Amino acid sequence: MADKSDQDFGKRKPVSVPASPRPAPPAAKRSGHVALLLMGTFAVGSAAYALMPNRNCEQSPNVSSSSLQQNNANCSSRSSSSSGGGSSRSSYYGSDSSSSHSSSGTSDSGSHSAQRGGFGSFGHAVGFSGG
Amino acid sequence: MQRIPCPERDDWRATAESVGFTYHTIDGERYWDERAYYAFTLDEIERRIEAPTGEIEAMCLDLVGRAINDEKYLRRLKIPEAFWPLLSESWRRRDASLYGRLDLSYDGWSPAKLLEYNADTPTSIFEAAVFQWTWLEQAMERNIIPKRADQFNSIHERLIDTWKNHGGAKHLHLAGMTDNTEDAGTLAYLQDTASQAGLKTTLMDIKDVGLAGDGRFVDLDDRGIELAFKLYPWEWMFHDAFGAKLSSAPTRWIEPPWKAILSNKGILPLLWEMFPKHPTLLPAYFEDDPKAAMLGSSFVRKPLYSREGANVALVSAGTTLMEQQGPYGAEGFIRQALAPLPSFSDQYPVLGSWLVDHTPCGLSIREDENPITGNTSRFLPHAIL
Repeated sequence: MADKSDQDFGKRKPVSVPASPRPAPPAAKRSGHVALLLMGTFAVGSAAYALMPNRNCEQSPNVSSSSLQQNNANCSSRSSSSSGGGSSRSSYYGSDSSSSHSSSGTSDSGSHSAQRGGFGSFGHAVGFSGG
Repeated sequence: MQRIPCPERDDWRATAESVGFTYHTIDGERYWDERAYYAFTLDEIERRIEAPTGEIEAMCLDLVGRAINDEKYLRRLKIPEAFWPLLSESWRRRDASLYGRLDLSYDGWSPAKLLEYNADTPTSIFEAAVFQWTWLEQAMERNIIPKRADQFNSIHERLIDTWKNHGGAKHLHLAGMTDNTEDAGTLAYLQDTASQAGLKTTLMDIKDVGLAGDGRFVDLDDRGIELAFKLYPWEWMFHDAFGAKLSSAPTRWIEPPWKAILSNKGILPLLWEMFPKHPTLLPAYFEDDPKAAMLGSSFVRKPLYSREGANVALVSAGTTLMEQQGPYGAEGFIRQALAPLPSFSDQYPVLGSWLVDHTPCGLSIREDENPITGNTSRFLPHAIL
């Protein structure tokens, strides 16, 4: 991530407010085309995750931006202990909750040595994490 | 700022689904809604939204710096004491932030006001960064909006640039609640941008994160998780069974632990205390602070921890006009001055002002017939005219 100097990190910085009226024509806020590398080549969401839950992706070297819309990433997937469920955004109250998970406590499923299920129990009880 | 009705593209649903935006309609109701758009002047964007967003972000970083050095702040935010070292170490190590979204009230005339900061797990970034931009391009091509239109939106490029600063050699794990369609879409989009930046990526459900015998967090292949993006709030991680292992595990997290301070609604009274009468802030107080009485009988009551408007109540003249139900509130509440959202054609818009790597870089708008924005509020595009 950005390498901020000690002087900059966590400090208020002056905010430059452009003088008004602006003499120049509007500058484009966006410079180029939005290209997607993976999305659109996979379905997105719970159904897709149920099919391809553990997506390991590595972009091919020297990929050109013009070909980004094509599936040129090297992605592998395999089954896991995840189970997807039909979903819409959930409410807190359970009536339309999409969660089919019931992670309570920990287990060693999916691995010979690691414990699993130690994250997610609070969230799956609520239903969604974003805001 | 204007709300301008316009014809929708007849093929927008197919376009959305072709790029994986499958949650454009939820429970039969529109989530993406392009039957109107909000129009701004460039001056409004730069002076009324972009500059205040940068100012608020700077104030927030100032607040984090103080909180790290004064436990009184962490205590007031009800952050569990066991995690104070995790937060302070991540701050002193300068663990970097990827993104965040300020929710602002703006009526086109008065200064924009901070309603809250989605600093930890903001969603709707795919709609803001990609599908909104696609709408702009196609709407100009089809003469739905003027061809000279623009958009405050460089989110996509800035995400890729920011990922690049992590170093292409690192392997990024992205974890969240993948059985939630919107969260899965957000994870997939951020995985896409990280891949474009050259990072190797693995997407996994948060419950599949493993804890190895040596104290490392591992993926389903038992590979150590060195760098993880988590779409899962810090306060929930603290509460979960593996929370106690966060301090000793070597994983670096995005958003970093210090963001747990800024995702707490308690920053609203703390900012007001630090920067009283700042034009972008609304008066706010902790509910147990006697000064809360200064707000009188009209205010918005918010839990310290809350998502998607849950447990937020709008109180006017002592009467609760509206309250979103939810599971939050055990840690306490804050009260914020009532600043009714502006109404445009009987719709209440909230502006989402996006930051990537602390830089203001995009705008999204959610509107609702209800003056509390919730998880059923519709997403409308915007244009600079």
